[in-house]
Amino acid sequence: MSSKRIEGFKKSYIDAKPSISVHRAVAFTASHRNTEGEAVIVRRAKAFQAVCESLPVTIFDGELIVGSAGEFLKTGVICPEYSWKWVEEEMDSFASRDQDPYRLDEAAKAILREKIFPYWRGKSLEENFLARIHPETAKILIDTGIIDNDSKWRNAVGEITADYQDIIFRKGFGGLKREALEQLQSLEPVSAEALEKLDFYNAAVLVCEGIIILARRYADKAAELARTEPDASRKQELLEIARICRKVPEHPPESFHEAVQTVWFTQLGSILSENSLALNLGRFDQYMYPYYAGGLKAGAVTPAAAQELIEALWIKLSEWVWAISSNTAKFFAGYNSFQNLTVGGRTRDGRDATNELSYMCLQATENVKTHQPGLSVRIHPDSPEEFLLAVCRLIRAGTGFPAVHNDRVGSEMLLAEGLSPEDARDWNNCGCVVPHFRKVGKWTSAVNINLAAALEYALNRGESRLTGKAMGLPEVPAAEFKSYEEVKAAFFRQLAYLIKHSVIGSVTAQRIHAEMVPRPYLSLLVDGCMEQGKDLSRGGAKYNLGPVLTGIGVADSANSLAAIRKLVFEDGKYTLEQMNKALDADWEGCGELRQAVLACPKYGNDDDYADSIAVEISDFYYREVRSYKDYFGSSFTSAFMGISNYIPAGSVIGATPDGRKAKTPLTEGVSPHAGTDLTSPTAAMRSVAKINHDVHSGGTLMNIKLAPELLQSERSLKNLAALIRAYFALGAFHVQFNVISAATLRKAQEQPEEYRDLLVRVAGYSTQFVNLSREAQNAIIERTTYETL
Amino acid sequence: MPSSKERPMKPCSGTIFQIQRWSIHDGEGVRSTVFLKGCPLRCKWCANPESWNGNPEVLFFQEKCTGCNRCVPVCGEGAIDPGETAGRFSRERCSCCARCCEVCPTGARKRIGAKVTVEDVLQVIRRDAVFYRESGGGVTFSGGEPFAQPEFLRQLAAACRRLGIDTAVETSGYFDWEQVKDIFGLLDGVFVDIKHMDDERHRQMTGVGNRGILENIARISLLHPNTIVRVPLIEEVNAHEQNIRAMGEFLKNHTRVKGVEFLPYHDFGEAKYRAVGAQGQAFTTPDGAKIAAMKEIIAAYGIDIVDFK
Repeated sequence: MSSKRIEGFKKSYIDAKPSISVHRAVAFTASHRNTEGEAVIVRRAKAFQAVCESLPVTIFDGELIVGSAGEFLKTGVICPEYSWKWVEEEMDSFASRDQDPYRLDEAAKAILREKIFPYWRGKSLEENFLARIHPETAKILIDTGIIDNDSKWRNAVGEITADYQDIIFRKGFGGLKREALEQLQSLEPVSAEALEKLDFYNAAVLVCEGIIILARRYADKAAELARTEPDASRKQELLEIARICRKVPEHPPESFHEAVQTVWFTQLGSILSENSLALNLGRFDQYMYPYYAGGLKAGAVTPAAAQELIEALWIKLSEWVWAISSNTAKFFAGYNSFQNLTVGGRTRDGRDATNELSYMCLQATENVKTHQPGLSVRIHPDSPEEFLLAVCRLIRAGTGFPAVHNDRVGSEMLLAEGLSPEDARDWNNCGCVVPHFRKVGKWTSAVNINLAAALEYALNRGESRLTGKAMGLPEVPAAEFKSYEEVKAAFFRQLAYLIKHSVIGSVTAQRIHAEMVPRPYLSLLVDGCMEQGKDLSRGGAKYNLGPVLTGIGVADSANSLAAIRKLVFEDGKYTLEQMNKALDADWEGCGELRQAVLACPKYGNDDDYADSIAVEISDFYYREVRSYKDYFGSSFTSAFMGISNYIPAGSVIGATPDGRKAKTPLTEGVSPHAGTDLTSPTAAMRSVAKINHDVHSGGTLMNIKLAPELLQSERSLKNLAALIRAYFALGAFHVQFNVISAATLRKAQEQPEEYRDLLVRVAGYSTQFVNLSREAQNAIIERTTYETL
Repeated sequence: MPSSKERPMKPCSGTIFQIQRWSIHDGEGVRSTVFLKGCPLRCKWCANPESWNGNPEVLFFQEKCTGCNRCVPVCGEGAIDPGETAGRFSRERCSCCARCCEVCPTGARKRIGAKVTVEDVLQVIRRDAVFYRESGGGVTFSGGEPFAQPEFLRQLAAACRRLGIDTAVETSGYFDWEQVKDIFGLLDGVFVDIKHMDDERHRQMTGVGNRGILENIARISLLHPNTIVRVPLIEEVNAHEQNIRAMGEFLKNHTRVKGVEFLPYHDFGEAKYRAVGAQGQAFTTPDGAKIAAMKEIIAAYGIDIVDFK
């Protein structure tokens, strides 16, 4: 149970409707008007500072942790420098759209139309990307759902983990500013490198000043409120807030409260700088622990006070909403901003790292039930059983959190990417399920690749079954394939083609990002940039790792190939021509064939017939992806993770030979397809664990839905813990559970008002069920529920 | 416990009707339950009437039959009447070739049971070894009546022991003690049912008397420290004080069971009864207060109440 204060916040949070604030866009744009001709990184740093100087400063009633991206309790921010056309086209339907609606008042719309859009015309990232992308790539990349990287040209990248341990808590932004000034003293503009460094350090000084200015404005606001505050204890709190905001994030924090406020200001700066996804909180229990333990010892903090501050931060993280196009919202449904926070795991020298804060973070999520932060745990063989049981209890609470990760596999993935052993042990989760480290620069979700499209083109002469357009490589008619091997070869050929164009889309985007949208603020939070005087977008991080290409539909492809192999080439009961006709007809009038394909072996039942194909596909995918190098010379990285991408990816694909109907969802991550893993959770886990998780260092994702009835007793919680440990012993990376009965979900569809806080797991994250589109809701209900076993 | 005599292990097969992985209510931890087919009892509340017949058989779910008649020509025995859908299936003639099941588009015809070797079963149960290990689980042999296939059960249990997999059995207690007693040395846990304490009532409701069963329970429990008695609790049959007291007396004075688990009756539906060509009978689940009262009676005899929910 939360404190009364947090319960109050929670209520007003749930009641608030997401609204778009234009202040950030106005200030950012006005600054750009005044800096034409200056270095782009300096322009962006000046614009950031301008935002910090002019953003409305709002302290909501009773708040302990302060700072907001705008004037609303749930604020969405517009960043026209990345893309603005979708805002212009869609803003009149923001309030009414199905997935992730926002409020935007008419006055704000007028400002956008008159002051913002005209300036950015021709200057946005989106327009530049579209002008420069290779036309053949564009045909399958731009708003097709076949290969998709729109979050890398309509939006900023995000996907960093702020380094509190070695940078922010040690130096503060005041310290960072001094470092930049020192560098500037010894630099002369005598070489290309020095010119770039000069710009970088000049920009660094500006963004440090910006975030410090913003904090001081909050200090002033708190002091002003304190003057008129009638309640003596609140007055005291406001004075304390004012004191803290004058100190941090300029100086290193010294108390737990100061440290939490530092984290939030740092995070707020990241949000204001680029409004992006996956601004990760990293290993919160580790870097906060010294402040907690020290505070307890000194009597400066109590467990209850610390718990309240953690929960206040959880609500802050949920307040800002990611403003995105309706297309992007299909992929990233539920206002999710993927601010991942990791607890548990091992220390840099390999000991168990679980501490009191690890438990308190679990408790905070159970108490406030907000969809942020994305809570992840790292479990290793020596994780205390007590901790794993606490994790299982939170799973039982049905929030969909936490994402449970295999600690050792996460380290193995990063070791393979070239991290030092100590750094590889110190990993945290990024976004949904990507193993990450705070000194890494990497696009952790660069492109989504639709594997079912490769299968469709292989069987349908390179054409889309739904539109008839030539999309893939040309192929012979399916009837001419003489063997299963030929079908498989065609599938791999098409998949390789999609991967190649995904690479083109990525390196093109990387190049334009480096030119157009350097990241002066975020570069300060990632080790290496300051030392080298080099922006994150230009390869300034200590480790620069290759972008992640995410495959969608492993299960669908494997099941389809298994059905073709069995029915056409082994049993000889049907021909590929018959199969193709049935797919064209979306199975209408082909009930018998559909029954036959549904009865074929399916991935997720511990049946090697289908599972071995899934392994073959994933291994091929890895080799192919890995064979390309990115803009900085790093090898691309494979992943099978999910956003809610499996729903839109399915909507552009016709019927598939596994019995799936046209336009219905594919499958998330490495999970079995919904409703086909009928054997047991252990069988599903064994199937999934056959995939070589350790090589897919962009992460692998597995969802299992359990009925709550299965987890009522302590004994059943222990069995769940054992299930997780066994799954990890098999070498798998991640599992997450949805523990909500189908009956409850159907009720929530009927009476959304009653279920506003019902969190469900979508794929790599959890969000409020009522915030999902009907289509996404139905997809979740359909996932296999092991309640009858 | 009797030491298991080293018997020569000839390849042995038996008939099973299911292997249920991730079985979590039949003993400790995560288990796989192997259901052996064939039972000498005919309990009127049985949830698995397809377990009675010791041979593979074809179940016919009449309500799913659309009368498409695809099954008629494939049946070599003329066991299917092309006319009516009701009562169209002559079980006496059926050879269980299951060709009708393969062509049935709606699943109205379903073959249940298969003759399998010990190795066949091991191939499935070995798959979850890592889950048994992490959870302290293992394999449970259930049925039907597992002791009705003693050599098959013996070899299965011995093989599990070799593989280091924990074993348990669920039995009606209705078997020839001398023929099977060595098997208990190969088992880590025993669940044995007491359905009723009155011999005559037992015979009425299950088709057999209870004297041999109670004797066997006493013998098992004196040999095996991990014997748990299970009681299917049914309002009309056994959920009354006199019966439960008699049970407490018996368990206290003649056995050393580790505990008693009550399993309140649940109606799993008529359909399966009709599908095997039998008559089902509806019973009532005792309410919570009644179940609590029954538990108290047993506890008063100093016997532990256990459950695996």
